[in-house]
Amino acid sequence: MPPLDRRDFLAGLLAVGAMSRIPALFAAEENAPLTRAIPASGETLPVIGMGTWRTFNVGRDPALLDQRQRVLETFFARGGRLIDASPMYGTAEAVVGELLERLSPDARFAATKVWTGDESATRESVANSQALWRIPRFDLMQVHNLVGWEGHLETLKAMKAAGEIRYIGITTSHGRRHADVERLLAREPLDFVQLTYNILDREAEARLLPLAQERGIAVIANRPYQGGRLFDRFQSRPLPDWAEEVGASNWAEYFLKFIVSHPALTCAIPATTTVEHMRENMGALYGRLPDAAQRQRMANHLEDL
Amino acid sequence: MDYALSDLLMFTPEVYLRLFVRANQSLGLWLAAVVAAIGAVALLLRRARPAARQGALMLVAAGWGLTAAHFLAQLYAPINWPVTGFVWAFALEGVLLGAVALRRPPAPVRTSLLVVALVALSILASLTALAAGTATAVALPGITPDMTAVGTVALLALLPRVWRWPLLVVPVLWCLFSALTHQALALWLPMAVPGVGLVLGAIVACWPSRSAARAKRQAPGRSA
Repeated sequence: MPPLDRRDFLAGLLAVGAMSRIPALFAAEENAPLTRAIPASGETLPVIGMGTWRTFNVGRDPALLDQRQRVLETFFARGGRLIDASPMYGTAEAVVGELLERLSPDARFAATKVWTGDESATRESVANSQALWRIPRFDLMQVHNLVGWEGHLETLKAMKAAGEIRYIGITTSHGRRHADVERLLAREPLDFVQLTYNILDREAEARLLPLAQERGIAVIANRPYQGGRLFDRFQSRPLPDWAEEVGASNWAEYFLKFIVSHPALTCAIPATTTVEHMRENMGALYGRLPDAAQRQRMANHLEDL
Repeated sequence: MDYALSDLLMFTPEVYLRLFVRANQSLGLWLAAVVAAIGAVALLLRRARPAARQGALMLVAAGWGLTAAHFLAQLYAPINWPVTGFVWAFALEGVLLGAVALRRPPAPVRTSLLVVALVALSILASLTALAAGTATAVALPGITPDMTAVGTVALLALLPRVWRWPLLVVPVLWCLFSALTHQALALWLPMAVPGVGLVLGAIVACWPSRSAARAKRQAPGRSA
Protein backbone atom coordinates (compact mmCIF):
# COMPACT_ATOMS: atom_id res chain seq x y z
CA MET A 1 0.00 0.00 0.00
CA PRO A 2 1.56 3.32 -1.04
CA PRO A 3 2.18 5.78 1.74
CA LEU A 4 -0.47 8.46 2.21
CA ASP A 5 0.91 11.94 1.58
CA ARG A 6 -0.44 15.07 3.25
CA ARG A 7 -2.38 16.22 0.16
CA ASP A 8 -4.20 12.88 -0.16
CA PHE A 9 -4.90 12.81 3.55
CA LEU A 10 -6.44 16.30 3.52
CA ALA A 11 -8.44 15.55 0.35
CA GLY A 12 -9.76 12.38 1.95
CA LEU A 13 -10.68 14.23 5.09
CA LEU A 14 -12.58 16.82 3.05
CA ALA A 15 -14.42 14.11 1.11
CA VAL A 16 -15.47 12.27 4.26
CA GLY A 17 -16.59 15.53 5.81
CA ALA A 18 -18.62 16.47 2.74
CA MET A 19 -20.19 13.03 2.53
CA SER A 20 -21.18 13.16 6.16
CA ARG A 21 -22.99 16.42 5.44
CA ILE A 22 -24.97 15.08 2.48
CA PRO A 23 -27.60 13.09 4.42
CA ALA A 24 -28.01 16.06 6.76
CA LEU A 25 -28.52 18.35 3.80
CA PHE A 26 -31.16 16.01 2.38
CA ALA A 27 -32.75 15.61 5.81
CA ALA A 28 -32.87 19.37 6.22
CA GLU A 29 -34.66 19.60 2.87
CA GLU A 30 -37.22 16.95 3.97
CA ASN A 31 -37.75 18.52 7.37
CA ALA A 32 -37.88 22.14 6.29
CA PRO A 33 -41.32 23.68 6.66
CA LEU A 34 -43.03 24.63 3.43
CA THR A 35 -43.08 28.38 3.06
CA ARG A 36 -44.41 30.97 0.66
CA ALA A 37 -43.20 34.50 0.12
CA ILE A 38 -45.45 37.47 0.86
CA PRO A 39 -45.37 39.14 -2.56
CA ALA A 40 -45.28 42.68 -1.11
CA SER A 41 -42.02 42.10 0.75
CA GLY A 42 -40.53 38.72 -0.13
CA GLU A 43 -40.71 37.74 3.57
CA THR A 44 -41.57 34.06 3.85
CA LEU A 45 -44.38 32.52 5.89
CA PRO A 46 -45.02 28.86 6.75
CA VAL A 47 -47.94 27.67 4.64
CA ILE A 48 -49.89 26.53 7.69
CA GLY A 49 -51.01 29.15 10.18
CA MET A 50 -53.54 29.01 12.98
CA GLY A 51 -57.07 30.38 13.20
CA THR A 52 -58.75 31.10 16.53
CA TRP A 53 -62.42 31.25 15.51
CA ARG A 54 -64.46 29.42 18.20
CA THR A 55 -61.41 27.53 19.47
CA PHE A 56 -59.61 30.16 21.58
CA ASN A 57 -62.69 31.90 23.00
CA VAL A 58 -62.38 30.25 26.42
CA GLY A 59 -62.81 33.27 28.69
CA ARG A 60 -60.83 33.16 31.94
CA ASP A 61 -61.22 29.40 32.42
CA PRO A 62 -57.85 28.34 33.92
CA ALA A 63 -58.14 24.71 32.83
CA LEU A 64 -58.97 25.61 29.25
CA LEU A 65 -56.26 28.30 29.16
CA ASP A 66 -53.67 25.69 30.11
CA GLN A 67 -55.03 23.31 27.50
CA ARG A 68 -54.94 25.93 24.73
CA GLN A 69 -51.40 26.79 25.81
CA ARG A 70 -50.39 23.23 24.94
CA VAL A 71 -52.09 23.59 21.55
CA LEU A 72 -50.23 26.82 20.84
CA GLU A 73 -46.98 25.34 22.09
CA THR A 74 -47.36 22.49 19.60
CA PHE A 75 -48.08 25.00 16.83
CA PHE A 76 -44.84 26.89 17.46
CA ALA A 77 -42.80 23.72 18.09
CA ARG A 78 -43.88 22.37 14.69
CA GLY A 79 -42.82 25.53 12.89
CA GLY A 80 -46.01 27.62 12.86
CA ARG A 81 -45.89 31.41 12.91
CA LEU A 82 -49.08 33.11 11.70
CA ILE A 83 -51.92 33.41 14.22
CA ASP A 84 -55.15 35.02 13.08
CA ALA A 85 -57.90 36.38 15.32
CA SER A 86 -60.59 39.06 15.40
CA PRO A 87 -62.36 41.23 17.97
CA MET A 88 -65.47 39.35 16.85
CA TYR A 89 -64.20 36.11 18.43
CA GLY A 90 -65.13 36.94 22.03
CA THR A 91 -62.14 36.50 24.33
CA ALA A 92 -59.89 34.90 21.69
CA GLU A 93 -57.60 37.93 21.38
CA ALA A 94 -57.14 38.19 25.14
CA VAL A 95 -56.47 34.45 25.36
CA VAL A 96 -53.88 34.57 22.56
CA GLY A 97 -52.27 37.58 24.28
CA GLU A 98 -51.98 35.78 27.59
CA LEU A 99 -50.62 32.62 25.99
CA LEU A 100 -48.10 34.50 23.84
CA GLU A 101 -46.81 36.14 26.99
CA ARG A 102 -46.53 32.76 28.68
CA LEU A 103 -44.76 31.12 25.74
CA SER A 104 -42.65 34.00 24.35
CA PRO A 105 -42.16 32.33 20.96
CA ASP A 106 -39.05 33.16 18.95
CA ALA A 107 -41.02 34.01 15.84
CA ARG A 108 -44.66 34.85 15.41
CA PHE A 109 -46.75 36.64 12.83
CA ALA A 110 -49.65 38.39 14.57
CA ALA A 111 -52.71 38.97 12.44
CA THR A 112 -56.04 40.33 13.56
CA LYS A 113 -58.88 42.45 12.23
CA VAL A 114 -60.75 45.67 12.63
CA TRP A 115 -64.39 44.78 13.19
CA THR A 116 -66.57 47.80 13.73
CA GLY A 117 -69.05 49.71 11.60
CA ASP A 118 -67.66 52.97 13.00
CA GLU A 119 -65.17 53.93 10.31
CA SER A 120 -63.57 56.54 12.55
CA ALA A 121 -62.70 53.95 15.23
CA THR A 122 -59.90 52.16 13.35
CA ARG A 123 -57.06 53.34 15.56
CA GLU A 124 -59.06 52.67 18.70
CA SER A 125 -59.78 49.12 17.50
CA VAL A 126 -56.11 48.48 16.65
CA ALA A 127 -54.99 49.88 20.03
CA ASN A 128 -57.54 47.74 21.84
CA SER A 129 -56.40 44.60 20.01
CA GLN A 130 -52.75 45.46 20.71
CA ALA A 131 -53.53 45.74 24.42
CA LEU A 132 -55.30 42.37 24.37
CA TRP A 133 -52.52 40.66 22.42
CA ARG A 134 -49.91 42.41 24.63
CA ILE A 135 -47.73 43.23 21.63
CA PRO A 136 -46.29 46.56 20.43
CA ARG A 137 -47.23 46.11 16.77
CA PHE A 138 -49.30 43.87 14.54
CA ASP A 139 -47.79 42.21 11.51
CA LEU A 140 -51.10 42.18 9.68
CA MET A 141 -54.27 44.19 10.24
CA GLN A 142 -57.30 43.27 8.13
CA VAL A 143 -60.74 44.76 7.65
CA HIS A 144 -63.11 42.05 8.90
CA ASN A 145 -65.69 41.01 6.28
CA LEU A 146 -65.33 44.45 4.64
CA VAL A 147 -67.25 46.05 7.53
CA GLY A 148 -66.70 49.81 7.19
CA TRP A 149 -63.85 49.15 4.76
CA GLU A 150 -63.64 52.64 3.23
CA GLY A 151 -62.75 54.48 6.41
CA HIS A 152 -60.75 51.62 7.91
CA LEU A 153 -58.59 51.09 4.84
CA GLU A 154 -57.63 54.75 4.62
CA THR A 155 -56.52 54.76 8.25
CA LEU A 156 -54.74 51.42 7.93
CA LYS A 157 -52.82 52.68 4.89
CA ALA A 158 -51.69 55.69 6.91
CA MET A 159 -50.73 53.47 9.85
CA LYS A 160 -48.72 51.21 7.56
CA ALA A 161 -46.92 54.21 6.05
CA ALA A 162 -46.07 55.37 9.57
CA GLY A 163 -44.72 51.90 10.44
CA GLU A 164 -47.43 51.23 13.01
CA ILE A 165 -48.45 48.01 11.27
CA ARG A 166 -46.51 45.96 8.74
CA TYR A 167 -49.15 44.71 6.32
CA ILE A 168 -52.78 45.48 5.59
CA GLY A 169 -55.55 43.38 4.14
CA ILE A 170 -59.24 42.61 3.84
CA THR A 171 -61.23 39.50 4.68
CA THR A 172 -64.39 37.73 3.66
CA SER A 173 -65.80 34.31 4.42
CA HIS A 174 -68.48 31.91 3.23
CA GLY A 175 -68.09 33.28 -0.30
CA ARG A 176 -69.74 36.59 0.66
CA ARG A 177 -69.23 39.86 -1.28
CA HIS A 178 -66.77 38.39 -3.77
CA ALA A 179 -67.61 41.12 -6.28
CA ASP A 180 -66.64 43.80 -3.74
CA VAL A 181 -63.49 41.92 -2.81
CA GLU A 182 -62.56 41.68 -6.48
CA ARG A 183 -63.00 45.44 -6.91
CA LEU A 184 -60.79 46.15 -3.91
CA LEU A 185 -58.11 43.69 -5.00
CA ALA A 186 -57.98 45.45 -8.36
CA ARG A 187 -57.65 48.99 -7.07
CA GLU A 188 -56.36 49.08 -3.48
CA PRO A 189 -52.72 48.60 -2.43
CA LEU A 190 -53.44 45.52 -0.31
CA ASP A 191 -50.80 43.14 1.02
CA PHE A 192 -53.19 40.35 2.02
CA VAL A 193 -56.65 39.04 1.27
CA GLN A 194 -58.31 36.41 3.43
CA LEU A 195 -61.11 34.35 1.94
CA THR A 196 -62.83 31.00 2.20
CA TYR A 197 -61.11 28.37 0.13
CA ASN A 198 -61.14 24.62 0.64
CA ILE A 199 -61.38 21.48 -1.44
CA LEU A 200 -65.17 21.81 -1.76
CA ASP A 201 -65.57 25.60 -1.72
CA ARG A 202 -63.53 26.62 -4.74
CA GLU A 203 -65.39 29.67 -6.01
CA ALA A 204 -62.32 31.84 -5.38
CA GLU A 205 -60.38 29.92 -8.03
CA ALA A 206 -62.36 31.55 -10.83
CA ARG A 207 -61.44 35.22 -10.32
CA LEU A 208 -60.09 36.13 -6.89
CA LEU A 209 -57.07 33.85 -6.71
CA PRO A 210 -55.78 34.67 -10.21
CA LEU A 211 -56.32 38.38 -9.54
CA ALA A 212 -54.50 38.22 -6.19
CA GLN A 213 -51.63 36.43 -7.89
CA GLU A 214 -51.51 38.98 -10.68
CA ARG A 215 -51.60 41.92 -8.25
CA GLY A 216 -49.02 40.41 -5.89
CA ILE A 217 -51.37 40.01 -2.94
CA ALA A 218 -50.82 37.26 -0.38
CA VAL A 219 -53.82 34.96 0.18
CA ILE A 220 -54.90 33.43 3.50
CA ALA A 221 -57.48 30.63 3.26
CA ASN A 222 -60.01 30.51 6.08
CA ARG A 223 -62.47 27.69 6.79
CA PRO A 224 -60.06 25.11 5.33
CA TYR A 225 -62.21 22.30 6.77
CA GLN A 226 -65.56 24.03 6.09
CA GLY A 227 -65.89 24.69 9.81
CA GLY A 228 -65.23 20.99 10.52
CA ARG A 229 -67.83 19.67 8.11
CA LEU A 230 -65.24 18.07 5.82
CA PHE A 231 -64.27 15.75 8.66
CA ASP A 232 -67.92 14.98 9.41
CA ARG A 233 -68.37 13.91 5.81
CA PHE A 234 -65.15 12.12 4.98
CA GLN A 235 -63.27 11.10 8.12
CA SER A 236 -64.99 7.73 8.36
CA ARG A 237 -63.75 6.89 4.83
CA PRO A 238 -60.26 5.52 4.22
CA LEU A 239 -57.73 7.73 2.48
CA PRO A 240 -57.16 6.76 -1.17
CA ASP A 241 -54.25 4.40 -1.86
CA TRP A 242 -52.38 7.18 -3.63
CA ALA A 243 -52.61 9.67 -0.72
CA GLU A 244 -48.89 9.25 0.06
CA GLU A 245 -48.11 10.44 -3.49
CA VAL A 246 -49.68 13.81 -2.67
CA GLY A 247 -47.94 13.96 0.70
CA ALA A 248 -51.01 13.19 2.82
CA SER A 249 -50.98 10.64 5.63
CA ASN A 250 -54.33 11.72 7.12
CA TRP A 251 -57.42 13.67 6.06
CA ALA A 252 -56.17 16.91 7.64
CA GLU A 253 -53.07 16.83 5.44
CA TYR A 254 -55.18 15.87 2.45
CA PHE A 255 -57.48 18.90 2.87
CA LEU A 256 -54.71 21.36 3.76
CA LYS A 257 -52.25 20.30 1.09
CA PHE A 258 -54.92 20.69 -1.52
CA ILE A 259 -55.34 24.31 -0.41
CA VAL A 260 -51.74 25.41 -0.02
CA SER A 261 -50.65 23.76 -3.27
CA HIS A 262 -52.63 26.35 -5.20
CA PRO A 263 -49.97 28.70 -6.57
CA ALA A 264 -51.81 31.83 -5.42
CA LEU A 265 -52.10 30.69 -1.80
CA THR A 266 -49.81 31.93 0.93
CA CYS A 267 -51.19 30.01 3.88
CA ALA A 268 -54.21 28.23 5.36
CA ILE A 269 -55.39 28.86 8.91
CA PRO A 270 -57.05 25.77 10.41
CA ALA A 271 -58.33 26.12 13.98
CA THR A 272 -58.38 23.41 16.61
CA THR A 273 -58.82 22.83 20.33
CA THR A 274 -56.66 19.73 20.68
CA VAL A 275 -52.93 19.02 20.56
CA GLU A 276 -53.53 15.89 18.51
CA HIS A 277 -55.36 17.82 15.80
CA MET A 278 -52.74 20.57 15.87
CA ARG A 279 -50.07 17.92 15.19
CA GLU A 280 -52.11 16.67 12.23
CA ASN A 281 -52.59 20.21 10.92
CA MET A 282 -48.90 20.96 11.19
CA GLY A 283 -48.10 17.75 9.35
CA ALA A 284 -49.24 19.58 6.22
CA LEU A 285 -46.35 21.99 6.70
CA TYR A 286 -43.87 19.31 5.65
CA GLY A 287 -43.22 16.94 2.79
CA ARG A 288 -44.35 17.13 -0.80
CA LEU A 289 -47.25 19.06 -2.26
CA PRO A 290 -49.52 17.81 -5.02
CA ASP A 291 -49.07 19.16 -8.54
CA ALA A 292 -51.94 20.46 -10.69
CA ALA A 293 -52.94 17.01 -12.00
CA GLN A 294 -52.82 15.53 -8.51
CA ARG A 295 -54.95 18.38 -7.14
CA GLN A 296 -57.59 17.60 -9.71
CA ARG A 297 -57.45 13.94 -8.74
CA MET A 298 -57.86 14.88 -5.06
CA ALA A 299 -60.95 16.97 -5.78
CA ASN A 300 -62.44 14.32 -8.10
CA HIS A 301 -61.94 11.67 -5.46
CA LEU A 302 -64.06 13.56 -2.93
CA GLU A 303 -66.75 14.17 -5.51
CA ASP A 304 -66.90 10.41 -6.11
CA LEU A 305 -67.26 9.58 -2.42
CA MET B 1 -71.50 28.32 1.00
CA ASP B 2 -74.12 29.59 3.38
CA TYR B 3 -74.02 30.48 7.03
CA ALA B 4 -75.19 27.70 9.34
CA LEU B 5 -76.55 28.54 12.77
CA SER B 6 -73.36 27.09 14.28
CA ASP B 7 -71.26 29.58 12.26
CA LEU B 8 -72.76 32.40 14.30
CA LEU B 9 -71.50 31.00 17.59
CA MET B 10 -68.00 31.92 18.69
CA PHE B 11 -67.45 29.15 21.25
CA THR B 12 -67.48 25.38 21.46
CA PRO B 13 -69.72 23.01 23.48
CA GLU B 14 -66.73 22.24 25.71
CA VAL B 15 -66.38 25.90 26.70
CA TYR B 16 -70.14 26.25 27.26
CA LEU B 17 -70.37 23.23 29.57
CA ARG B 18 -67.33 24.41 31.49
CA LEU B 19 -69.34 27.53 32.44
CA PHE B 20 -71.51 25.39 34.72
CA VAL B 21 -68.49 23.80 36.42
CA ARG B 22 -66.91 27.22 36.93
CA ALA B 23 -70.15 28.76 38.21
CA ASN B 24 -70.47 26.06 40.87
CA GLN B 25 -66.78 26.06 41.78
CA SER B 26 -66.48 29.82 42.09
CA LEU B 27 -69.42 30.04 44.48
CA GLY B 28 -67.68 27.72 46.94
CA LEU B 29 -69.62 27.51 50.21
CA TRP B 30 -72.25 29.90 48.86
CA LEU B 31 -73.41 26.98 46.73
CA ALA B 32 -74.78 25.39 49.91
CA ALA B 33 -76.65 28.62 50.62
CA VAL B 34 -78.23 28.49 47.15
CA VAL B 35 -79.31 24.86 47.67
CA ALA B 36 -80.78 25.85 51.04
CA ALA B 37 -82.59 28.77 49.39
CA ILE B 38 -84.12 26.41 46.80
CA GLY B 39 -85.38 24.21 49.65
CA ALA B 40 -86.66 27.28 51.48
CA VAL B 41 -88.64 28.41 48.41
CA ALA B 42 -90.36 25.00 48.30
CA LEU B 43 -91.17 25.04 52.00
CA LEU B 44 -92.42 28.64 52.00
CA LEU B 45 -94.74 27.99 49.06
CA ARG B 46 -96.62 25.41 51.16
CA ARG B 47 -97.37 27.88 53.91
CA ALA B 48 -100.83 29.35 54.31
CA ARG B 49 -99.42 32.65 55.56
CA PRO B 50 -99.15 35.08 52.60
CA ALA B 51 -95.94 36.64 53.94
CA ALA B 52 -94.18 33.26 53.71
CA ARG B 53 -95.13 32.88 50.06
CA GLN B 54 -94.12 36.47 49.37
CA GLY B 55 -90.76 35.57 50.92
CA ALA B 56 -90.48 32.64 48.48
CA LEU B 57 -91.01 34.99 45.55
CA MET B 58 -88.40 37.37 46.95
CA LEU B 59 -85.89 34.51 47.07
CA VAL B 60 -86.65 33.70 43.43
CA ALA B 61 -86.14 37.38 42.56
CA ALA B 62 -82.75 37.24 44.29
CA GLY B 63 -81.91 34.18 42.18
CA TRP B 64 -82.46 36.22 39.02
CA GLY B 65 -80.10 38.87 40.35
CA LEU B 66 -77.44 36.32 41.22
CA THR B 67 -77.74 34.62 37.84
CA ALA B 68 -77.41 37.99 36.07
CA ALA B 69 -74.42 39.18 38.09
CA HIS B 70 -72.50 35.92 38.29
CA PHE B 71 -73.23 33.39 35.54
CA LEU B 72 -74.30 35.78 32.80
CA ALA B 73 -72.15 38.88 33.41
CA GLN B 74 -68.95 37.26 34.64
CA LEU B 75 -68.84 33.94 32.82
CA TYR B 76 -71.14 33.80 29.81
CA ALA B 77 -71.20 37.34 28.34
CA PRO B 78 -67.41 37.50 27.75
CA ILE B 79 -67.59 34.56 25.35
CA ASN B 80 -71.02 35.28 23.85
CA TRP B 81 -71.65 38.99 23.38
CA PRO B 82 -75.49 38.87 22.84
CA VAL B 83 -75.72 37.63 26.44
CA THR B 84 -74.76 41.14 27.63
CA GLY B 85 -78.31 42.30 26.81
CA PHE B 86 -79.75 39.45 28.85
CA VAL B 87 -77.72 40.49 31.89
CA TRP B 88 -79.91 43.60 32.12
CA ALA B 89 -83.06 41.67 31.21
CA PHE B 90 -82.41 39.20 34.05
CA ALA B 91 -81.77 42.05 36.48
CA LEU B 92 -85.06 43.64 35.38
CA GLU B 93 -86.92 40.37 35.87
CA GLY B 94 -85.48 40.15 39.37
CA VAL B 95 -86.73 43.66 40.15
CA LEU B 96 -90.17 42.90 38.69
CA LEU B 97 -90.49 39.69 40.69
CA GLY B 98 -89.46 41.55 43.83
CA ALA B 99 -92.06 44.23 43.17
CA VAL B 100 -94.78 41.64 42.60
CA ALA B 101 -93.73 39.81 45.76
CA LEU B 102 -94.36 42.97 47.76
CA ARG B 103 -97.89 43.33 46.42
CA ARG B 104 -99.24 39.86 45.76
CA PRO B 105 -98.29 36.48 47.24
CA PRO B 106 -98.39 33.44 44.99
CA ALA B 107 -101.11 30.90 45.73
CA PRO B 108 -100.17 28.11 48.18
CA VAL B 109 -99.10 24.79 46.68
CA ARG B 110 -99.96 21.24 47.71
CA THR B 111 -97.01 19.17 48.96
CA SER B 112 -97.54 16.48 46.33
CA LEU B 113 -97.31 19.07 43.55
CA LEU B 114 -94.15 20.53 45.07
CA VAL B 115 -92.52 17.10 45.22
CA VAL B 116 -93.32 16.50 41.54
CA ALA B 117 -91.90 19.93 40.63
CA LEU B 118 -88.71 19.35 42.63
CA VAL B 119 -88.17 15.91 41.08
CA ALA B 120 -88.69 17.37 37.59
CA LEU B 121 -86.28 20.24 38.31
CA SER B 122 -83.70 17.78 39.67
CA ILE B 123 -83.85 15.76 36.46
CA LEU B 124 -83.49 18.89 34.34
CA ALA B 125 -80.63 20.13 36.53
CA SER B 126 -78.67 16.94 35.89
CA LEU B 127 -78.73 17.21 32.09
CA THR B 128 -75.74 19.57 31.79
CA ALA B 129 -73.85 17.29 34.19
CA LEU B 130 -74.66 14.30 31.99
CA ALA B 131 -73.58 16.17 28.85
CA ALA B 132 -70.35 17.37 30.48
CA GLY B 133 -69.60 13.99 32.04
CA THR B 134 -69.11 15.48 35.50
CA ALA B 135 -71.48 16.04 38.41
CA THR B 136 -69.79 19.39 39.02
CA ALA B 137 -71.59 20.74 35.93
CA VAL B 138 -75.02 20.41 37.53
CA ALA B 139 -77.23 23.41 36.70
CA LEU B 140 -79.04 24.90 39.69
CA PRO B 141 -81.96 27.32 39.65
CA GLY B 142 -80.86 30.65 41.05
CA ILE B 143 -77.38 30.29 39.56
CA THR B 144 -77.80 29.19 35.96
CA PRO B 145 -80.15 30.96 33.55
CA ASP B 146 -82.07 28.07 31.98
CA MET B 147 -82.98 26.50 35.29
CA THR B 148 -83.81 29.87 36.83
CA ALA B 149 -86.13 30.59 33.91
CA VAL B 150 -87.84 27.19 34.00
CA GLY B 151 -88.33 27.26 37.78
CA THR B 152 -89.75 30.77 37.60
CA VAL B 153 -92.13 29.95 34.74
CA ALA B 154 -93.54 27.10 36.83
CA LEU B 155 -93.90 29.43 39.80
CA LEU B 156 -95.74 32.04 37.75
CA ALA B 157 -98.66 29.60 37.43
CA LEU B 158 -99.38 30.49 41.06
CA LEU B 159 -100.04 34.14 40.18
CA PRO B 160 -103.15 35.59 38.52
CA ARG B 161 -102.92 35.45 34.73
CA VAL B 162 -102.64 39.21 34.19
CA TRP B 163 -99.58 39.27 36.48
CA ARG B 164 -97.97 36.36 34.69
CA TRP B 165 -97.78 37.80 31.21
CA PRO B 166 -95.29 40.62 31.79
CA LEU B 167 -93.22 38.31 33.99
CA LEU B 168 -93.13 35.62 31.29
CA VAL B 169 -91.48 37.82 28.66
CA VAL B 170 -87.86 37.55 29.85
CA PRO B 171 -87.90 33.84 30.77
CA VAL B 172 -89.54 32.88 27.48
CA LEU B 173 -87.20 35.06 25.40
CA TRP B 174 -84.24 33.58 27.25
CA CYS B 175 -85.48 30.02 26.71
CA LEU B 176 -85.85 30.73 22.99
CA PHE B 177 -82.34 32.17 22.77
CA SER B 178 -80.93 29.31 24.82
CA ALA B 179 -82.72 26.63 22.81
CA LEU B 180 -81.23 28.03 19.59
CA THR B 181 -77.80 28.18 21.21
CA HIS B 182 -78.04 24.56 22.28
CA GLN B 183 -79.17 23.59 18.81
CA ALA B 184 -76.19 25.38 17.24
CA LEU B 185 -73.88 23.62 19.68
CA ALA B 186 -75.63 20.28 19.04
CA LEU B 187 -76.10 19.88 22.81
CA TRP B 188 -79.33 17.97 22.55
CA LEU B 189 -79.64 16.70 26.12
CA PRO B 190 -79.32 20.07 27.93
CA MET B 191 -81.46 21.63 25.21
CA ALA B 192 -84.40 19.95 26.95
CA VAL B 193 -84.21 22.58 29.73
CA PRO B 194 -85.02 25.65 27.61
CA GLY B 195 -87.35 23.42 25.58
CA VAL B 196 -89.35 22.61 28.71
CA GLY B 197 -89.26 26.32 29.59
CA LEU B 198 -90.86 27.23 26.26
CA VAL B 199 -93.61 24.60 26.50
CA LEU B 200 -94.28 25.47 30.13
CA GLY B 201 -94.32 29.18 29.24
CA ALA B 202 -97.04 28.61 26.64
CA ILE B 203 -99.10 26.57 29.09
CA VAL B 204 -98.71 29.03 31.97
CA ALA B 205 -99.59 31.98 29.72
CA CYS B 206 -102.94 30.34 28.85
CA TRP B 207 -103.70 28.55 32.12
CA PRO B 208 -106.63 30.19 33.95
CA SER B 209 -106.04 31.94 37.26
CA ARG B 210 -106.88 29.88 40.32
CA SER B 211 -109.62 32.26 41.39
CA ALA B 212 -111.15 32.17 37.91
CA ALA B 213 -111.00 28.40 37.80
CA ARG B 214 -112.57 28.17 41.25
CA ALA B 215 -115.34 30.57 40.24
CA LYS B 216 -115.99 28.53 37.12
CA ARG B 217 -116.25 25.34 39.14
CA GLN B 218 -118.67 26.98 41.58
CA ALA B 219 -120.90 28.51 38.87
CA PRO B 220 -124.26 26.68 38.43
CA GLY B 221 -124.25 24.44 35.39
CA ARG B 222 -126.71 24.96 32.60
CA SER B 223 -129.68 22.65 32.85
CA ALA B 224 -131.57 21.27 29.92
